[in-house]
Amino acid sequence: MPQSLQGRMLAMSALVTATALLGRFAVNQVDRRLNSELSLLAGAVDRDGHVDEARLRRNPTHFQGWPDWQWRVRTPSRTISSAGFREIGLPLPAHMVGGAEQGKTSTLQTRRGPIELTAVQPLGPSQQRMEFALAPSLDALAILAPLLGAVSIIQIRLGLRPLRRLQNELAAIRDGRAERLGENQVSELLPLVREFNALAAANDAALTAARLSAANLAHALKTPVATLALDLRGDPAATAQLGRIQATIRHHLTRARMQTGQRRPSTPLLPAISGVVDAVVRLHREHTLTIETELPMDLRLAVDAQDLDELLGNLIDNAARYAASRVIARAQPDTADARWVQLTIMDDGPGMSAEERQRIGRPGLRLDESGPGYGFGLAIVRELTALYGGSFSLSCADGGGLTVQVNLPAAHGI
Amino acid sequence: MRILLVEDDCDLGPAIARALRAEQFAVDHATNGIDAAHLGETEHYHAAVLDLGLPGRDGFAVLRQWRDADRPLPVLILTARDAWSDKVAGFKAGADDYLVKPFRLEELVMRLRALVRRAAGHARPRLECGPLALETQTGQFELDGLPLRLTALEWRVLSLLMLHRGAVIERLDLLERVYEGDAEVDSNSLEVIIGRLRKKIGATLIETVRGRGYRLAFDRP
Repeated sequence: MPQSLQGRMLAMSALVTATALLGRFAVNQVDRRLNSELSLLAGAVDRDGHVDEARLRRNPTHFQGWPDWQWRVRTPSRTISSAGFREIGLPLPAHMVGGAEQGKTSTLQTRRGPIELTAVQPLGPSQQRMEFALAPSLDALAILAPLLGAVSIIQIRLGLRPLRRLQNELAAIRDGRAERLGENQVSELLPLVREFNALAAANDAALTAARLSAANLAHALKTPVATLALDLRGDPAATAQLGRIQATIRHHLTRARMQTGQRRPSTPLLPAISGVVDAVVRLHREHTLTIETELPMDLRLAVDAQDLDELLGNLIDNAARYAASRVIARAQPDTADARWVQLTIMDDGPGMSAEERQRIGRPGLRLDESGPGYGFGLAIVRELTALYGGSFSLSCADGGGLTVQVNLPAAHGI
Repeated sequence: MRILLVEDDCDLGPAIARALRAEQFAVDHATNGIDAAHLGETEHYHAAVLDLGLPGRDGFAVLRQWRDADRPLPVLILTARDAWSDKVAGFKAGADDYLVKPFRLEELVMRLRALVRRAAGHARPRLECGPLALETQTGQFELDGLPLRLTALEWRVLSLLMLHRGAVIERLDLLERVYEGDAEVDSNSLEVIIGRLRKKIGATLIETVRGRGYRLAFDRP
């Protein structure tokens, strides 16, 4: 069997067409034959109901070609039949016998009552005759077959259109343009669609549960660590160990929080950046600071909303921490490749040495090795950016200050 | 200064309360969301330290209740939730500051002092009134440039007068904002404290406004 549904359906329809065509010709031939046999049998019966048995027996010429033809004449008083009739073993029903018309019965009304005439052809001859049947019909088939084929192809195309639509809907879910499949599907696909939607819902629930348990773990671990930190004030060695524990917790929780789902999200950048800038300004209220944002209103990123907050928060908070007075956050579609959005965060702080920049940019660096401060936040940003296939680079402006440039995937459409 | 501390952890809560009291704050400690919501609505605090994961009522719900009731109480969220989405949500819900556990106590105290100072309308960390100065980041008072030693109650009364220098502070207001909720207050104790303060900083800086309360003389040299 062909591997594609289209192939299977086409093959099936070709088979059915051919059989139907051939079968029809053969059956027609046979039917015609049976009719002539019946009229021969009828010729041996007169109006009074008298059966001319001698004539029946004498009449082999017509049957000679097909020696297995059988017949039977049943009058109210007796039954006459060809020698092999019973052996064929067909207790004939009213009109027809078998799937193909292998036997035929007709009833003559005579003065002596109804006389039933039956002509039967065994299976063998009809099949042999198929070849005879084929010969005259080949021309007709040659014309009909391509026509029927074309009709089948159109039919299958139309029939399979809902599948193609389903495929588009699935792609939309993956691109983050839709959450679930629509339920306005053809009835055959509806159970499949419902199953898929249930699976997607279960998946979402599992993801949420995983995130929640990560958050719970954070809460469970951090409060005792905070208590310990209060108790161990003034013990630098213990405090340093606690610092390592905290860094490790942060590292693994940040990793656990990063989205690993397959669906492509679509998050508007402007509200995310406004929320984060507001939070950073409040967190650094004791520090006289202006944070300017420059970005188009309608920019959307294919980045999960929480991940985007994390990315922006770390970028802008880092810049605010080191800035003398000013931070600029700028976003624009990448001029070279519209599939990406370029995010640039600049501060007017002391900047970073080339070695430091290299250390932060090194791919193997783990979050818990990078320590607190500048490095830690930027290492999170670098990991998150890598998760979305984006690029991350650090540079120093001429007048000092650090510029972080991050490329993130743009989300298109809604 | 009187602080409402909302923390359900039975180790961390008392530890923070002890540490804040050591920094001269009066501390009322609530261990669940329902008590916290009620205290914040009915008592007078200079600021609240609010945990988010609370029994009875989530910290966010408590904060929203205060904001819906138009309570201007400055709120510092102290939580283990360190995701930026949580921080953004916290500020959107009406928080004034956000500190992630584990934290350094110095930072909590510094942020609380700054919160209280800003809520009183002062942008600069150093408050001055004649010969008297308060470095709000450290909580240190200076008189003529020299450090001033004060007891906890003296410090609370003087810093309250300093935050609102020039304005009359009602006696009842002072009492409410200086003593912890469960303290037994002797009606004469305020006079005693004012008397001791006058001995330390000079008799003229603190004026008595008859029938109303006290005022830190703003215009005096």
